[in-house]
Amino acid sequence: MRKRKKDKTKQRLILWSTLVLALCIWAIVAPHITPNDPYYSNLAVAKQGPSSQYPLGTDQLGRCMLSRIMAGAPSTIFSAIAVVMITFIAGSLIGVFCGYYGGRFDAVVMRIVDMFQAFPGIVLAIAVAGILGAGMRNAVIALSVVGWTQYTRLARSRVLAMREELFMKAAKISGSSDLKIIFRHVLPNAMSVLVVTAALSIGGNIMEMASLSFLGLGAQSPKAEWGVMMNEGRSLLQLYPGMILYPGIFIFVAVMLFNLFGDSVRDMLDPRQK
Amino acid sequence: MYMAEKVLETVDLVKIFKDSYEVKALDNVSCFVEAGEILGVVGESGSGKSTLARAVTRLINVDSGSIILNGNDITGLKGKEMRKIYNDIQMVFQDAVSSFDARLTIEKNIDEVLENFTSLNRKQRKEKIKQLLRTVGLKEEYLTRKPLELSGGECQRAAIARAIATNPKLLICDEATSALDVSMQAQIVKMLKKLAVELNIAILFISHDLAIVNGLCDRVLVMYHGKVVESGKATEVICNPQDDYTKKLKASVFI
Repeated sequence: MRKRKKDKTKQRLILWSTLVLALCIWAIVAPHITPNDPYYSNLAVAKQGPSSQYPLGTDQLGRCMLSRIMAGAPSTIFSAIAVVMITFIAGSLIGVFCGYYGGRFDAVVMRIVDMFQAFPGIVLAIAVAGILGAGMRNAVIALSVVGWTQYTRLARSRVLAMREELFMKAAKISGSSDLKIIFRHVLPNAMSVLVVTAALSIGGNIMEMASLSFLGLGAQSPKAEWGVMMNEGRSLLQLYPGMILYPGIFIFVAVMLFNLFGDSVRDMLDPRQK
Repeated sequence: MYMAEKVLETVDLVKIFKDSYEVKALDNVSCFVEAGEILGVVGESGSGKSTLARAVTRLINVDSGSIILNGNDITGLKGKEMRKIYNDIQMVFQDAVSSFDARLTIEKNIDEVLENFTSLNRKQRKEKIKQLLRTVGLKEEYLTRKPLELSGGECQRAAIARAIATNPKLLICDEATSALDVSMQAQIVKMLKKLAVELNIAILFISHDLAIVNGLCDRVLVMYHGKVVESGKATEVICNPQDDYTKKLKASVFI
C-alpha cells in the first residue's frame, strides 16, 4: 500500500518534470520558429483578431502576438530560473556557514537577513530595480537580492539542528576539517529541504519577473517579453482583451507547471512537509 | 617490572558549564591510561563521565588543566594540529546508528577517517575497510549498506571498525555497550578486550554498568559530581569499595 503511494508520487514527479522540461525546450526553440517576425510592425494589420496568418492576432502596432509570445518565452522563464539558481546557491552557502560557525559573523548576517525580510519581497525588488535602473539583468539582480534570505534562514536552521547530532562529532573525530564536514555532511543533509524550496519558488519568480517587466522595471518595450506585452495591452483591455489575455495565459501555464513540479519534488523528497 | 607507557594523562581537568546555574562537570580530574590497558570510568548520570570523554577528545574545551597524549600536551591545540590527534584518539559513541551519516553507506562512512589519515588509494582503502569489517565480525556485504539498515549491535561493530581504522593508541568508548542487549554486550566486550591485547590499544571505557566494568577493565575510576572519588584495580574497587559513594553505587547495582 505504502509502496503504491510512493510509486504514485514518483509517477507525478516524472509527469511534471517531463512537462517542465518540455516547456523549457519549447522556450529554447520557440524564438527560432516564430511564424512571423516578432518585431516587424505593420500598422495596416494592427489590432486584428486571430487569423491563419496571425494565430493569436496582432497588437496595436500590427506585430504577430504568437510570435512575440514565443520570442519572449526564454527571457521570462530562464531569467526566473537564473534568479532561483543564484539565490539557492548563495543563500544556502551563507546560511550553512552561519549555522556552522555561529558567533559574530552569524549574528551580523542574520540581522541583515532580518532587515531584508522586514520588507515585502516585491516592494524591495521594485526599490532595488528602481535604483539599478530598468533592464532584464538588473531585474535578475533585484530579485536575487530579495530572494537569498529564505535559503539562508532555512539552511542555517537545518545546520543548527544538525550541529548537535552525533555523526557531526564522529566526522570531527574522523579528522575531517570544517570545510570537508560542511561539503560532505552538512550540505548534502540540508539539501533536500533547500531543493524543495527552490523548486517551489521557480513559479513565483516567473511571476515576479513578469511583474517587474509589467511595471517597466525589467525588460523594456519593444522587447518581446510577457510582462511587457501585458503592459502594452493594458490600455486596450476592453477593446482587444487578447493582447493582455494571451501573454497572461502563458504566464499562468508556466507558473502552474513549475508549481506543480515543485509540489511533486516536495512530495518526493520531503513527504512530511505536506 | 615492565612499565607500560602512559598513553593518556589528564592533570587537574576542570570544566564548568555555565547556564542558568553553574555546574562543575569536571572538578580537578586527574587520571591516566597505559597502552594495552582498559580503564573503566563509572558513575551515575551527570557525574561527568561523558564530559571527560568529550574533553579528552577535544570536542569541548576545558577551563583549566591539561590533557597529555603520548607525552604531548594537546590541551590548547587548534585547527590542523588538533585534527592530527584523531590519528591517535578515536571514540565510539553510545548511539552507534546516529554516529554515522545516515545518507552514506558504511563504506563511505568508514572511508572518511582513512581518507584523512592514510595515503592509501581508493582501492586499497576499500580492501582495508573489508579487512576492518572482518576484524569486528561483520560480513563484506555490509559495505554497501546504510547505517539504518543495520541493527544496533552491527552498527556498534561498524563504529568500532571505524575507530580502529587508523590504529589509534587510545580508544574511548562512551557507553558503547549501554544501548545493546545483553548477549550483544558480551560480544562487544569480548571484542574490545581482544583489541586491547592484540593492537595494544589503551581503552577508556565509560559505563554505568559495574558488572561489565568489573569483567572488562583493568583499573576503575569512580566519578561523582565531577570528582574522582576512588580509583584502583577493578576487582578491588568493585569488590571492596572504600569510598561511601562507591559503596552506594555498588549497593544500587548488586541488590
